[in-house]
Amino acid sequence: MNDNDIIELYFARDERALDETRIKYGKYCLSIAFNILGNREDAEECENDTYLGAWNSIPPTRPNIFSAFIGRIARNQALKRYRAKTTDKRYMTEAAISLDELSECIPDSTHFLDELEQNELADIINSFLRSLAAEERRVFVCRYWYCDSIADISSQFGFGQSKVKMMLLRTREKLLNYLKERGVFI
Amino acid sequence: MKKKEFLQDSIGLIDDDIVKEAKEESRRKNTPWARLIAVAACVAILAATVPVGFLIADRATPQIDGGQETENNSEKTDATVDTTPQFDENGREIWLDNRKYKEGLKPYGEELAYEWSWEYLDIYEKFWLIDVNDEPYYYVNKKISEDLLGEHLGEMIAYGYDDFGDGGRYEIDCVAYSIKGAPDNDAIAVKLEGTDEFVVYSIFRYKFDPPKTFGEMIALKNLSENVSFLNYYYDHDEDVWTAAKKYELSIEQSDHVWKIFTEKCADAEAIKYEDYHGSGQKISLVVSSDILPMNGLAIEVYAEGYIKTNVFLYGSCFFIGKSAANEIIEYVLTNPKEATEITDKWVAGTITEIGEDYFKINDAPMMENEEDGIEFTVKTTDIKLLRYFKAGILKVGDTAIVKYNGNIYADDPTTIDSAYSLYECQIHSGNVYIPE
Repeated sequence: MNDNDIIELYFARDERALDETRIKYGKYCLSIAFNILGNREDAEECENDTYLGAWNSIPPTRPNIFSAFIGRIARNQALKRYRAKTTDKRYMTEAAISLDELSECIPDSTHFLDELEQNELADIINSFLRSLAAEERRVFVCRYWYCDSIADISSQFGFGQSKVKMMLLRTREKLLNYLKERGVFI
Repeated sequence: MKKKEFLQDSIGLIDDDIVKEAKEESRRKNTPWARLIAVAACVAILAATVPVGFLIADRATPQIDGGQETENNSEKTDATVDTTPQFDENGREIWLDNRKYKEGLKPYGEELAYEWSWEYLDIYEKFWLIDVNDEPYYYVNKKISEDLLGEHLGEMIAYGYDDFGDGGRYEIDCVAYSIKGAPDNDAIAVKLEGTDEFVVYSIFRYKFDPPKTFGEMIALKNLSENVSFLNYYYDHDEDVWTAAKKYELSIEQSDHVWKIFTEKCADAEAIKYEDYHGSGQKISLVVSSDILPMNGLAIEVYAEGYIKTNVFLYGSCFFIGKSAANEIIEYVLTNPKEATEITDKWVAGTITEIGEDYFKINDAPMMENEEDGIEFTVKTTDIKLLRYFKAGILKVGDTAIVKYNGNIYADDPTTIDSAYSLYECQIHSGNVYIPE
């Protein structure tokens, strides 16, 4: 079933919408949640929460890109669950690792401007990502949006793992400079 | 909210088209029966717990890498053909390929991570989980000989899920043993019903607090006894990975490295893995173990005085000091013996016929003179190869590469009966695509 038809089922409050979403995007959501949570049981619960989240959001929302919409719900649900669950270092999932990597983009002694809203920062990151070469942008998004492992990214793009690591390191450095130039830190 | 989480959440709000674009390529082969996804579940378990991208696994097994420059030379050349007859251990003459290959031609391809429907899975892909004392053990791709079996742990159930079908759980009987010398039963030997070999299932969630010193880490799994370094890679500069060469270490040398590790580095304190990025001269000691599931892992020693390792499937870093680090590096680099890379054996060409338990592949596209092409018959009952045909991913006329690990014999030079890998490829020279 195509995405528009699935969205129409949501608007019609037809519960087949959930089945169709599961059939088409179940594995996709599960893999996003699994990357973040590192645990199948939690990831499955998160996948179910994702469908509920979609059910509660559509309507009124009519997603333009349903895959990104549903994936975003899965990511948010998983991050929420992950942060609630533990800060234990032993629970070292890809989310924790990629989060640590991202901290390189924030100078140690600084903070984001108090008045900076998440949406504003997202807009700046959008501009930054659009300034990158497509490949660089995609690798960055796989790592920090999907929380994919280096090994998975390497396999997806056919790059060596060292190349992926170097690419990410350089993109993080670029992002740090980009954010500094735009004065988002104090 | 912490500032890095603020950044992580802001990234979560980036535009939909950027999110979608990141995965577009990897969804290009969607079919009802074989969807390409980021990872198969069992691979994801591993990947999710390995934060560092050590290249050892890639390097230890030379491979043809999708369109990338690779260290191994996948190009076949007639310049080094040895025409001396060679025989296997049974005295059977091995076929020598003295044909002339088209210069500069290479097959480019990648073994993609398909997720296969239940009917196309092999038995270990189907039943990849076993619960022991409520802890899940996962199949790792490692066979184990029966002389390493320890205590009989009992009859158990291995299970898996038909994710593409009814989503149901399926089970199979198995028998499990401990593995001699394997600490804490972190890995067990398992024989599934209907199979005749033992394989390793392992627990990946580490059950301990991160070690505070390098000595503590060694002691945890008795690494100095259970692990050897039979190879190492040497880099002048981590940024130039491709310059690294592989060298051999003898058992005595390996033992000596462990001696330095245990005597001079045991008190080395752990530092945050992310706090040391690693640069400059280093050696990467490839971990080899008969009993621990440690394929593709390494201990890296940096001349700057640090050790980084992923031996427990997560990154650990210790400061051992420049003196000990350089002692190890200098010792290992004394009289280096370059390792002979085991070159993959492969045939690339056009699929010409597909049968129930065989397929044919003609390598004429690789030849200087196309008439020299041979139509090889690849005999196999391995579902991991045949599923490419059954699922319609490869068909007659497609270009593919077959890897095998046995021999082709002079008395039957068109038969390959030891194929272990098959995937789609393109044959071209550098950036120039050669039309088929």
